Amino acid sequence: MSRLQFERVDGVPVARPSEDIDAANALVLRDELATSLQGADTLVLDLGATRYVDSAGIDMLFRLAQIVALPSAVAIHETVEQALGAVSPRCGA
Amino acid sequence: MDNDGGTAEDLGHPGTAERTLDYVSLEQMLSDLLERIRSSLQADTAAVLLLDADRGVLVARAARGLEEEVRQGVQVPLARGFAGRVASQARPIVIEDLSRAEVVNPILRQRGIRSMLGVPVQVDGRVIAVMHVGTLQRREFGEEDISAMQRAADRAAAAIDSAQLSEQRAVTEIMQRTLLPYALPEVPGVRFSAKYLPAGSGVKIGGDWYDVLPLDNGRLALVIGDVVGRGVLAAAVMSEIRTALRAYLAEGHELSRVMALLNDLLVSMGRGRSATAAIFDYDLERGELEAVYAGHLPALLLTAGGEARFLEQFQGLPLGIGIGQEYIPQHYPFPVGSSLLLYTDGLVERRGESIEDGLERLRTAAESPAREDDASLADHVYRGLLDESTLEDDVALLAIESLPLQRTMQLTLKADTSELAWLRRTLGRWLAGQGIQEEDLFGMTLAASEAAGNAIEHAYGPHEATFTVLCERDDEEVRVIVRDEGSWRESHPYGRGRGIGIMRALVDSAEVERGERGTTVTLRKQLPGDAR
Repeated sequence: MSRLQFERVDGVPVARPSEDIDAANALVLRDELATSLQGADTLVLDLGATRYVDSAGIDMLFRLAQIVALPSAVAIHETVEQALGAVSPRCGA
Repeated sequence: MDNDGGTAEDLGHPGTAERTLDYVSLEQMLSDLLERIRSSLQADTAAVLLLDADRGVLVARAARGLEEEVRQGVQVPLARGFAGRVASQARPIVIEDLSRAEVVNPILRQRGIRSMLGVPVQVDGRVIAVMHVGTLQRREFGEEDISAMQRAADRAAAAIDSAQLSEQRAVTEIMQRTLLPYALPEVPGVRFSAKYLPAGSGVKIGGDWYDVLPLDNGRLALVIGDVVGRGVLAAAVMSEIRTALRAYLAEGHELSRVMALLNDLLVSMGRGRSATAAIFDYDLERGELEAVYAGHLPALLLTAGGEARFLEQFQGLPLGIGIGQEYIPQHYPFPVGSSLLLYTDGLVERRGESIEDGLERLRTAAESPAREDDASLADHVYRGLLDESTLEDDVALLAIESLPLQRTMQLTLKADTSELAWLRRTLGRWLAGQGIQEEDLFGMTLAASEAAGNAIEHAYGPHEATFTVLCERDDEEVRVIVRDEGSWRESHPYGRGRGIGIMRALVDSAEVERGERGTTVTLRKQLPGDAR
């Protein structure tokens, strides 16, 4: 089961998925994330509470970018603040 | 009006009552009885309405010439309408002209019934039903008709009562099975035992319950509760609460939220009954408990050293009293070797004794080390406190013992991805017990989860397939062996293609053996020097 928490910080969608992202919830989570974007071209995924991501979860995260046609690929930051800092001025990641 | 043919005397022939004991169906018995009455009183319709005392209504149960009354489930409130007055006044009532009388049931008018005679059906002075006949032509029911009808009702009363009771008993037996506690789950490193003893003879159900169900991420919910009152009604409300609680827990809410939702639900259901409950979230990996209480007695914790103490609690109000209550969670350490006792007040309360004395008796019984061979903890505690002959109230008791995992652990899992999170947590606990530390533990856990993911995909058919995970160690290494009986798939359209690469990157070695009878994946990790 997926437990997605979602908010917008300065208009940028920030999603905090459940503790585990695995074959059991990857597809549900992908659909929830895609829906939560609502036309935004950037999504910050806060994996601070996530402990396990299995191959199905990794696959989902990379495919999500294609499905919702995000302009750039996946970038990894240490904190949500850094991620938001990277996207807000649009200087790339 | 003339009642010739002496039929009035035959109406309630004793045979009617005796034969009915053999009837399986109350409907059939009533229907035969009504046919007799209708023909002997030369009426056009005959009907019987049974009293539902709990709801204060008469419910149409059998009819002749008025069959739709039963089909439509006509209900007449007590003291209202024709049948309602017969019941509340407990005497025969005659209506000569229906068009001038208050009638609740519209069918009587629709069918053009003109005159009616109704009599109460009583057992030991208690009204259990109303029987009535009707005629399409205006008719004056005479004393003789009334007394014949009343005699018929009197003679049928015992049969109706016993048929109703045996019907209730049959329903109760079926319900009873659904109301019994759910089976306790098999969880490595945890031993559950329980006692469930409804008070009183006969119906072995009550308002007490316990429950154990898996939560997300390998945690367990432990539940104890007690609906006020006894018997079938308390059990019915218990069943509603238990199911609602399971549903709220499955939705993944915080415990405090679950309890608040449950409280609001019980208030809004308007059952007029309150309940006490305690819910625990047992994190097996961290060895911690979180609890919320709604007016329930404190759980008893037994430490590894054998000391028993009641857990301090933030007590919330019992469920069902008022909407919008707050329930505050409390956390407790619960390391391996500890035990927890959840119970209802029937275990500790005795007439003429304070609750403090009862609690102290429980604490002493739990600390008593002399456990009989093979006795579960629940049995041990129970025997130290009560025997069934002294049972005054329902008792539910659930004991949870946290045990060290064995050196070798074998898990049999459903071939369903919902098992993966539970597998990772359980394996994590086992690895930690073998001295495997953080990064290695994480690597082996995730590798085994990948192998399990493959095993789940290999499972064929819609029926319930399983796979096994064997965890073993020697002085050098730990091995996790995942076996299924399906055929290996090299890659899968969704994600699995990365699985084997991930496995190899995370552990010392990952061997995949594909045989005709299934696939075996063996994962190895060297033990660190200090864990050998």
